[in-house]
Amino acid sequence: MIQRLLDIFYRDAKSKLKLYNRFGGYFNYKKMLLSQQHMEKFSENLAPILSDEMGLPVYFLTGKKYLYQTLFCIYSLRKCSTQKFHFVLVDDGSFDKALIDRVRRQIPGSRIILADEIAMNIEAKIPMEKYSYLHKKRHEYPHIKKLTDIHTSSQHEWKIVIDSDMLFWSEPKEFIEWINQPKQPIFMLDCEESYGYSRALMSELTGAKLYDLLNVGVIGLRSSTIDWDKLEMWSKVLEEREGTSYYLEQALSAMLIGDQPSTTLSRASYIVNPSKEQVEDGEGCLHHYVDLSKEHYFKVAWKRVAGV
Amino acid sequence: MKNPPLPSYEQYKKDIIGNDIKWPLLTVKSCETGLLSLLPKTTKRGWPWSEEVLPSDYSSTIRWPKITVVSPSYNQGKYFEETIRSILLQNYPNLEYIIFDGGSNDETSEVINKYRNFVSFARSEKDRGQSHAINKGFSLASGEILCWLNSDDYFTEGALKKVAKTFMETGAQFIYGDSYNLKNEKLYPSISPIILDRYLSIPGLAQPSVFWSSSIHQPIWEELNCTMDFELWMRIAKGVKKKYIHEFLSIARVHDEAKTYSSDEKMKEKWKEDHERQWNVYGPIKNWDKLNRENKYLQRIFTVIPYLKSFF
Repeated sequence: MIQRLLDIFYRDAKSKLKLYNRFGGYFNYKKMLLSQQHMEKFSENLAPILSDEMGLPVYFLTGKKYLYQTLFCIYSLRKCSTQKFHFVLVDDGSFDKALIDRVRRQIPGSRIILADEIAMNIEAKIPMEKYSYLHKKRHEYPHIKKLTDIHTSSQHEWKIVIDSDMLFWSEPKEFIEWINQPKQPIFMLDCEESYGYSRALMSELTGAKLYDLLNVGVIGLRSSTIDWDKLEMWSKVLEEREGTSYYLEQALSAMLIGDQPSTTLSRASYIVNPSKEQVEDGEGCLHHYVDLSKEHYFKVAWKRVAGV
Repeated sequence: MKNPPLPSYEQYKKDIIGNDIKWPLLTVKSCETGLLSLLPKTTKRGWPWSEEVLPSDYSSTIRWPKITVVSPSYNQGKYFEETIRSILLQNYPNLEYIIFDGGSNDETSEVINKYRNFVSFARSEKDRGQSHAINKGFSLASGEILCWLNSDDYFTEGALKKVAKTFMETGAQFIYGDSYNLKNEKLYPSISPIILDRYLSIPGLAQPSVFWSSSIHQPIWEELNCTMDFELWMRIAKGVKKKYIHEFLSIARVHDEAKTYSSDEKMKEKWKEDHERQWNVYGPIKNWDKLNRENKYLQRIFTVIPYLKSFF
């Protein structure tokens, strides 16, 4: 009882206060949330974007909570490029009939990989009996589905997966070139290293010197070369030795790439956590709105993409 | 409480369009360079004569919701051209514009004929008054957002875009903004109160700056001559999500013939009749003075809130 009261009146209150302060105070934080609601509502009015089956495949892990962001990301890409794309939306477990209808209406021609198909792929490639830790993580840490649920699909050998909370500002030439002819992994660079685990442990497990600053906002991997046995072992050992981390998926992706030759997207053009000025100027060709840049994403960026 | 006598839109629609007119009506044609270059030439300058909202202001990545504007008119020919142009020169990409004139005997028919090819529907025939004309217009409406603009009022530049954007962002079903009153060529701001359901019976909204979703629309009570707007708000705005746009969306002309501002004894009598009709249906409003006082204080608080917010 005392513990609960302490949580409510001290710990929760303190952490909320900290959150409000990070975003410039209570009113500013609420304003940001209101802008987020506006963005979500507004996304229903975005005009349909055709996904071309013969176009370049781009994968998203999305669902009810994030579809509006996925839509804006796709719209921004269409605005900046004349290239034809094939959008593949992978169900994060929340797709229902209404959402499927909405995707069919707003992104006609797109492919949706639904939970049933994912379950079959997973059963075939990473069965529960052999990969129990990955299965456990899938239930408690949805981010890992970007690896397990997308790369178990056999449709494309190389897959580029992009986060929904990103917007394109000019034609992403390197990104397009890579999807046209993928030869080695590709990823974007973070503003600060966020693996959540020590480099020593990660290197010890992989036996390789890892890339610095890998960010999974944009990440392209070859599905058939993913070693699920290693992934099962790594995730287990990382968590046993150093605890759980929000960045587990990022760490695992960095470990999968190891030190093999890769394409890194320039930090000047593919910007993680852009500043207010960078958003207002539309600097670079892609922004990944993490951390404090969420405020500019919800208040400014999507409105510029929508042209309102 | 009784229900007000409301007409059937189905019957109106049937009578108006018969077998000759296709429904839904055509939307106002859009032009990549804007309608200004296509509309009849004029020597007047400024909005809405030599200026227009740029078509490029409307992003093509958006499915703009259809807006239906209905203009009832009767012998307001000297002002009507400004009304029509202020609607067309919004260059709104999904607009249905319907005009019903009550058989004017001034220059109205000339004005309508000048712009006939640019509007969705225009008809001039004897009617039973302004409310009847508005109802006839709405019976043909197929827009997602509805409003009416009297033939002596006009929209400000970009008003429809602001309204559509707010509808899309907030999902509100009832949107209202501020207005200017134009008297002797001078503009006087008319700031709308923030309305709560409890105070809907207190008039205060500027009619030309009010827009609502077709999902909540109901016919206008035709027997009312002066209070039909706020009687409609009372019926449709209760319990729905409302949003206030703190911007000037329209300009309402104040002149001797305008019902709202006329000091004519006959008009005063009509206002009285309307109030009595409403009392007969809805009954007297309980605690009227108290409600008014509460509302007055609330509006003061609402005025202060934005300033308070700026301190945090």
